[in-house]
Amino acid sequence: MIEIKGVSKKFKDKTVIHNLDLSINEGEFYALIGPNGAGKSTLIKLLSGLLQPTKGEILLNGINIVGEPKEAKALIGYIPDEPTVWDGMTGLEFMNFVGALYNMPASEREKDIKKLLKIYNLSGTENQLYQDYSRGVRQKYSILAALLHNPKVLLIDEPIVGLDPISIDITKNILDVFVKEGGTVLMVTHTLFVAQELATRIGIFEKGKLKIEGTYKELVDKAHLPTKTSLDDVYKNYLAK
Amino acid sequence: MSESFGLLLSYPGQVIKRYLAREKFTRIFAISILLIIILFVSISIYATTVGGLNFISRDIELRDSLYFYIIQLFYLLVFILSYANSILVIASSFGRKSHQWIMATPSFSLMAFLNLFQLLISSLWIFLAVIIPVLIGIAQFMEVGTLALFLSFILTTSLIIIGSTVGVLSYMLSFYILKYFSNLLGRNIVSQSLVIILLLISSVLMVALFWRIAIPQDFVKFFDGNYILQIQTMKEQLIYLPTFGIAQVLHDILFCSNIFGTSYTLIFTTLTIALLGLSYVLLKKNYLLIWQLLQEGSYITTQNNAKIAVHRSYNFPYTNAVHTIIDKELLLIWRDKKNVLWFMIVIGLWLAQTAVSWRVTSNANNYGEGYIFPNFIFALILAIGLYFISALTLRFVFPTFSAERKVSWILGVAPISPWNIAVGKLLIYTALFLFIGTPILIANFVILGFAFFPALLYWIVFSLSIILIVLLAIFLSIKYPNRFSSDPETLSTTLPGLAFTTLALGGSIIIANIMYLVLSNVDLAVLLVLLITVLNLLLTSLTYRASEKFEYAGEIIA
Repeated sequence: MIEIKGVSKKFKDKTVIHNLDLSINEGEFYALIGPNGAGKSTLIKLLSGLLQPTKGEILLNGINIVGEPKEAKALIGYIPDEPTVWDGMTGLEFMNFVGALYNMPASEREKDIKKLLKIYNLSGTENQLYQDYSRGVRQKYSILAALLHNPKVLLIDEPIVGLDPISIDITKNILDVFVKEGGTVLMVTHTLFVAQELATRIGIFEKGKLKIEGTYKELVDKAHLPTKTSLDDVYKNYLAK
Repeated sequence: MSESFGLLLSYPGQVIKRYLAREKFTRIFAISILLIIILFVSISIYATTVGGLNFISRDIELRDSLYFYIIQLFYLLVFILSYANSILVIASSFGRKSHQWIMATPSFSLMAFLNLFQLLISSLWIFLAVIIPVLIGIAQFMEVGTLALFLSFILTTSLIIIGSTVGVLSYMLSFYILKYFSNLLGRNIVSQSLVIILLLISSVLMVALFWRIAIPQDFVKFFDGNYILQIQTMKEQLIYLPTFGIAQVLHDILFCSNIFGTSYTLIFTTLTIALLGLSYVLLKKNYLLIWQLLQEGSYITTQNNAKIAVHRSYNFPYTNAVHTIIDKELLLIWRDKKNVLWFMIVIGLWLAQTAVSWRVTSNANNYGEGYIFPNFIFALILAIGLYFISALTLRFVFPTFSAERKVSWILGVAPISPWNIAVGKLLIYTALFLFIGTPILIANFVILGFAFFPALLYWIVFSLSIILIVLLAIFLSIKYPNRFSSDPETLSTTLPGLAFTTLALGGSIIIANIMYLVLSNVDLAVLLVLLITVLNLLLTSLTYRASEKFEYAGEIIA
């Protein structure tokens, strides 16, 4: 579903992603972890079309994100690390605006939005302005907006920042169901317990390169650590090497 | 605290140093081009001033009283603009949540200094580009010495500072009036929007006062008799203006070679320093309280409960991407009270100018029907119109792509190209400005008795120029997006912002000058229409190419 072929990204003279090759299949949940400044968010932004690669190509379902951006972007749902929306919009307006951008007819949107708002119990907040929302409510709206047009791929940059424990469980459930229904997820995160619980494959990213990847079990085995070692410790072990 | 001040004062220097740290040659080249453009605009303003004075000087009977009247109006306008700018800057500062981290430190009162500094700089930079050439033009024309020119600079700087500080003090006064009523009512009614409404009411009263006093009941009588009598009549009427005294000193210095102006300048400078000091002390003392109460946002606090304001949501009924962007722009302009205030101020000033046209014409008609105004008046009306359009474009269109930096994840990820977004913005702002500008322009022409055919030509040029100005802003915004700020006030003072201002104002002056010549040579109009159309096509193509390379995120986010 996601194919990254020899992708590099340079900002002026600074290379942030180095010749990266990565393939993520349909129905797979890939978690990318790594230290601050490793280039994880840049990679997500390249995949979502917010940035253009300096070299290489990115294919989503065989569609090149640079060559056919509209077709490729129609497949993506993106959840940013900072869920900033125009202060003067209400939550409902934001959802409708996003739906309209994805060519969803208004009548279809209305039903879907109602259904989605119930997931986080947001009904009743939809006509308030964004400036009055807490960080957590904004995050919930950005998650729901990403799901509105039934994307095939979810690109997530830190999904649970600002969420309360119950909302974290709901979010994990949403992602789990999404993958089980055939969706593909690429998630960048520092909250490793979520990656350990949900990811079918985990990659450790450092200095713009994929240092190592595999299932959680494979990572534990390759590091010669006891079976029940947390991903937190596995990660620290790899970075120390 | 003193360390914080040191850091703050060294900040502009650091910004310049950092700006020149990379691509030094290109950036020095860009700055040089900008300086050349500013110089070009300044020379144009200088030439227009000298040309205008030359034109007036031909009328021996009226010239001296006209000089006096123009100086009075010039200073009144500078005062009003400084006042309005000051209120916008201070209101935006209190509404900004990004300063929370400074407000949480013990150095929170630093913000008072920062705001005062910011609003003075934002008012004074116009002084460099626009007012200095005017003053030099007058000084050269009247052949006054360096001392007189220097005194006129000091006096005008003082006026701008006075206008800005009066704005700050008015803002605080409005706040405390609302706070007083809050105490009386037993519930908090203080909000940014109410403070602004109160200021708007006082501004309307100020304009009404200006209308009553500065626009004489009978212009013909105003300019009747010899110049001593004329000036005496004007003085009797204009003496109530807040800027009368300071404008009188400037007039005496520049037009009467009155070196006694030195002592008056000293008095006004002292008054300015005292007013500035007072504003700083009061702002510093009250900053935290004002900030805290205004940060309560749209929470409507009652005695027993607090609830959040609920709005009627718009459902974006169309699935066409460009249409959706147009709807979004309109919705956000409407929802942001500061935007509405901006539109109201510009439209208000434009209508005030139209009202002056009406007053002058009706007055002239009292002395015989069919008074024919000189051609330059129509070109001036066009220039004023394009100036207002440039001001609106600088505030709303130019910052557009940079201001959406933080929300770029919505637009950048959606299946809509930056080109479609640019087209949406071009359509909505062109339509909006035409919708506002056309009736006002036509009203001016009808009032002043402009013939149909030349008026139509003027309107065509006006409409094409709106497209040109909006396109220029969109092109600069998409070509040079700012990754550091999303604040329209800050963005308008960046290098591309200054480039837009100088190009838009310079272009407007050139277009108005050509249109002045058109009245004696119609062929020029066809050439001008062709030229603007070609420029529009060129800018469209450049914008399209820039949109293809546009990246929503930048290094700073990555």
